[in-house]
Amino acid sequence: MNGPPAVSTSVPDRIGPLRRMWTRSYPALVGYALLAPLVAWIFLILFYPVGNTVLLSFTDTRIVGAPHRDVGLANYQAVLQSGAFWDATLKSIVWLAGNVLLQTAMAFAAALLLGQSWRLARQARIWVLLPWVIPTVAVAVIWQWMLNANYGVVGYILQALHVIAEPLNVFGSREGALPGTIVANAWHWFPLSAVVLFGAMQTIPRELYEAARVDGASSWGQFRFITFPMLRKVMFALGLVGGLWTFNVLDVIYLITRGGPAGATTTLPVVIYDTAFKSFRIGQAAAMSVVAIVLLAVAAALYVRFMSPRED
Amino acid sequence: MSQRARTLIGLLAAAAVIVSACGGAAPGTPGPAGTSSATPPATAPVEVVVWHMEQPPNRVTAWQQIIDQFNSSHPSIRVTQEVQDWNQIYSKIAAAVTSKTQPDILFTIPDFTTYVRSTGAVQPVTTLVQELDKAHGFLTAATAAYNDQGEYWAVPLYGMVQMLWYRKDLFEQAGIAAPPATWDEMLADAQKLTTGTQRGVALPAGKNLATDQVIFSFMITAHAENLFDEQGNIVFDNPDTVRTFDFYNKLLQYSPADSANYSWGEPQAALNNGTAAMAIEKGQYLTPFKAESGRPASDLGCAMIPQPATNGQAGSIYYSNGAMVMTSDQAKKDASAEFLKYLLQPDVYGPFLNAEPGLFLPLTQDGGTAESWLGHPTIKEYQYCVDLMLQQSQSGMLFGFTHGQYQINIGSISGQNIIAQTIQKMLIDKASPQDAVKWGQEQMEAAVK
Amino acid sequence: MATTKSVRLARWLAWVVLVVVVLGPLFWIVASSFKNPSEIIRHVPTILPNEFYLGNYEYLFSSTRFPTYLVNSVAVAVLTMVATVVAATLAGYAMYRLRVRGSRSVGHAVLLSYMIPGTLLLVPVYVMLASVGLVDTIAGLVVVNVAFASPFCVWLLRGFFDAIPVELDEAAAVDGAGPLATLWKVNLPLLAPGLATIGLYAFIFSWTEFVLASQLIVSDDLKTLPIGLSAIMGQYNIQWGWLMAATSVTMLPVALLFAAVGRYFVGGLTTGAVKGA
Repeated sequence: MNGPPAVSTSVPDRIGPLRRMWTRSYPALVGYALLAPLVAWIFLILFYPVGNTVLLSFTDTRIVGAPHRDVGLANYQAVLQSGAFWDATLKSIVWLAGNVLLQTAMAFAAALLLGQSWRLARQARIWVLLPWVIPTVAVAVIWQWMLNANYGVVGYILQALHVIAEPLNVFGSREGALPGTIVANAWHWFPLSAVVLFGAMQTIPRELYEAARVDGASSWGQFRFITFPMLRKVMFALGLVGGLWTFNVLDVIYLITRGGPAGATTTLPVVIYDTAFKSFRIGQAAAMSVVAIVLLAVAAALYVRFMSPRED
Repeated sequence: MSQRARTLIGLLAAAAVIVSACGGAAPGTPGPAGTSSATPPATAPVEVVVWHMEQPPNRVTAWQQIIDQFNSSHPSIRVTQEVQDWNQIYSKIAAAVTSKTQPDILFTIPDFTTYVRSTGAVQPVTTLVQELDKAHGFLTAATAAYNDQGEYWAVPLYGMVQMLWYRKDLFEQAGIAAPPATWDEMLADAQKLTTGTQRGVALPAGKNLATDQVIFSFMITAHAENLFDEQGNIVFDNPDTVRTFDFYNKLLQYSPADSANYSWGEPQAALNNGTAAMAIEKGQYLTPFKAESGRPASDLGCAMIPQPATNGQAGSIYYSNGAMVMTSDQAKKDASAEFLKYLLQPDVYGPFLNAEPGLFLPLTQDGGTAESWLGHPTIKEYQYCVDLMLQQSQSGMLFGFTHGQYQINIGSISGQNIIAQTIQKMLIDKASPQDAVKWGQEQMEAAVK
Repeated sequence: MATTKSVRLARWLAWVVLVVVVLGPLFWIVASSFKNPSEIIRHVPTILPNEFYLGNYEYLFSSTRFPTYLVNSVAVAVLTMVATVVAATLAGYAMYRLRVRGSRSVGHAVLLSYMIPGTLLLVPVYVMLASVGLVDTIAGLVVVNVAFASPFCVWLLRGFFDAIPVELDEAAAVDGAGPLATLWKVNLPLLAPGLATIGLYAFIFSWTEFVLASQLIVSDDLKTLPIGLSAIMGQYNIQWGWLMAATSVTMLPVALLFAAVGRYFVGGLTTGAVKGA
C-alpha cells in the first residue's frame, strides 16, 4: 500500500495558516503519539541495556558494580581470537540448523494433518499448542526425566521394543546431548510454527488441488508443487524470526546439560552466560554479546537479500 | 476547541493516567527490599529482610515458623524471609547491590561469599562470630571457610557433609558383609553389585556442583585437598589428584550410562529405586528414603567416605552454610545480629536444622547435643548415620579453604565447575587422568588470572 | 477421489506419531503426578498409577504457596495481555495505517530486538526498574513482559491491518472522522481476530516467562508459577511427584483457556501471518 494517509487533510480556505498547519499535520502527530509509547518501551527495556552492554564491553568489569578499568578493544581481541568463542558459534549454527530442520518438518507434518476435516483434526488444532504453553523450566526437567537411562520411560519403551540394546544415554554422551536438547526445544516450539503454517495452507485455493488431481498428480506431487511453493512467503518470515529466536535460546540447553557434557552443547548464548556469571567476566561477555549481535545482523541481512521470495 | 485537539489532549491525559497507574499499581508489595530511606518512628519495628536459597516448601515453612516466633518475642524487630533461586542469585545480588536494594541478611556458602564480597556490600561479622563461638562452640570446619586473615565474613549456621550411602539389602543379596572402607574395596564391591540392570554405584559426572563435591570428597581422602598452595598458585596437577581421578574414572564404569549428565537428583533416584547400590552424597538421603524406595529404614546404610588403601586419610567435603550481613545501617545490623544469635540458641537451633532433617547438621557443640534437634523422628530413626555424619564432619574440608587458606578466587573455579569438566574430559573425551588433570590445571590458572 | 492405500496408511501413521509426540509427554506428566514417591522413580515405569495418589496435589495446595503463584501468574498475564494489545495496536495503526515516517525503522528495530542475547539484559533491566521502584512489583514485571512481547505482536498485526481495505478508511475520512475515530470505528471491529491472537500470544508469553520474573521478583507474595515450579526443585534433591503435580497445575489453566477460545487464536495466527508475511 502506498500513498498518503487515508485521513482527510483538506482544509476550508477560511481557516488561518496556523490552523491549517495543525490540521494537516494532525494525523502525523497522532501517529507519533500512538507509536511513541511502544517505541519508548522497547527503547528503554531493550536498547538501553544493549547500550549499557556495549559500554561494558570496553571495560574489564568482572562483576557488575565492582571497580573496573577501560581496556579499549582488548575484550574484542580476546573474543575474536578465542577458540571457545568460535567453537560455540559453530555449535550454535548446528543447533540452529537442527532446530530449523526438525521444527519445519514437524510443523509441516502437523499443519497438513490439522487441515483434515474430521473431528480429531479439529480438536488437535487446540491441543497441539500445549507443548508451547509449558514453562521451559518444566520442559527441561521433563525431557531429562523421560530420557534418563535409569528410570526414563522413553528408554524403557525403546528397550522393550528392542530398538536399542543398551540403556539410553542421551544427555550423558557427546553424540546424544545436542540432538537431545534440539528435540526438547523443537517439541516446545514447533506448535507455534505448525499453527501458522496451517493457517497459511488454508488460504491456498482448492481449485489448484482439484486441477492437479485431475491431471493425475500424487499427494506428494501436490505438496511439492502447490503447497510448498505457495507457502514461501510465510516460511521466509517464520524462518527469519524463528531463526533469530532459536539462535538465542539459552534456558532449555542450560537447564538440561549446562553446556556439557564436555562442551557438547555449549552454544553461543551458553558461553556468554557462563562468561558473565560463572567466570565473572562481564566485560568479556558484553563483547561476546556485541559480536553475536553483529554476526546475527549480517546473517539476517544476507538471508533477506538472498532468500526473499520473489513476487510472482 | 476542535474535535481533534480534544482527542489529542484526551490521549495525553490517558497516557499520563496509565503511567501513574503503572507506578502505583503494586498489589501487596512492601516496596524495594531492604532499604529504608525515611527514619521510621520510634515505635515502628526495625525491618530485617533475609534472602536465602533453600527453596523447597518444607524448608520455607519450617523457617517461617521460627521467624514468626522470633517476631512475636522481639516486638521491636520484624524479620521477613524472601526465597531466591541459586540459578538467579548471582546476577540478582549484583543488580540488587548496584541499585541499593540488597537484603539485610543473605545466606551463603563459602565460595559464594567471595563473589558477593567483591560487590563491596558485605559487612564483617568478626565480633559476632567470636561472641557466638564463646557461647556455643563452633566446629573448626564451620568457621574456617569464612575467616579471611582474622576477619569473619559470615556467621556459620548449618553444616553439610558427604557420606557413602548404600543399600544394605542389595549388599546382602550380593553377599557383601560390610560397606567398603578403601578404594579397592569400593571398586570390588561396585563390580560385584553390577549385574543385569543393577549398577554398583550411581555417581554424578555432569558439569555441575554435585560432581565437584563428590570427587572432592575423594580428593581429600587422597591428600589432594589443596587446589592452591600458600602463595596462591594452583597446585591441582599433582600425583594425588591424578590417582583420585583415575579411581573415579574406574568407578564410573559401574555407574549408569548417562552419568555424564547426573547431578543430585539422579543418583538418589537410582539408589532409591534399587538400580544402584551405592552413592556419595550429603544427608538429604535420609528423609525421602522410605517413601521413595518402599523399603524399611534399616535398608539404608551409611559409611565414611572410602580412602585409598595406602597413604590416605579420613575426609569428606564439608559445607558450612552461613549468613552474611549486607546492611550498613546500625539499627538493622544490631537487629540482624539479634536474629542470628536467636537461631543458634539450642532450643531454636533444633527446629531450624530440622527444616531438612539430616541434611542440615549442627555446627556448634551445644547444637550437636540439643534435644530439640536430636528428638526429631527422622534423626532418631537414622541415629547411627547422623552420628557418623557428625564424626565425618571432624575431617571435613572445602576446596579453596583448606588448612587455613582463604582463596578469594575460588569462585571463578567452582562457578565454572572446572573439576567436573576435568572428569568429563576423562569420561567423554577419553583423556587419561594425567592429561585431564593437566588440562584442569590450565583451566584453573586461566580462571584466576 | 481415490487416495491410495499407502497414502492413507501414511496419514494414519502420521497421526499416531503426532498424538504420541505431543500428547505422550503431557500424559506422562499428568499420570506421574498421581503416583506415589516410590512408583514414580520405578525402574520399570507403570503407565497408569497403581493406586491413585493425591498426596502430591494435597501437598502442593496445602503446604506450598501455589495458589498464590497461580493468582499472580493470572494477574501478570492478563495485565500483560491488555497492555500489549493496546500498545501494539496503537503502534501498528501508526505504522501500517498512518504510515508515520520512521515506521520502517521501527520495523527494523523490532527485528533487531530478536537478535539480542538475553543474558546481559538482566542486570541493566533490574537496575533500571529499581531506580523507579518497580522491582518486586507486578507492574514492573508487566512492563518488562510487554516490552518483550510487543515486537512480535506488532509484526503479527501487520497482516491484519493490511487485510482491511483502505477504502473503508478513506470513506470514514470523507465523513469527517479523524485518525483515532477511524481506528476506533472502522479498524478495530475488523481487527478483532487479530487482537484475540496477539492477546493470547501475550498471555502465553507472560505465563511461561521465567528468567525475567525470577530476576525481578523478590518476595514470595508475588512469585509466578514458573518460579514456584523451579523452587520445587530444591538444591540437593528433587521431589518428582511434587514437580509433576506443579507442572500439571501450570498447564491446566492455559489448557482450559485454549479449549474455550483457542480457535480464535489458531484462526487469527493464520490470517495475520499469511497476510503479514
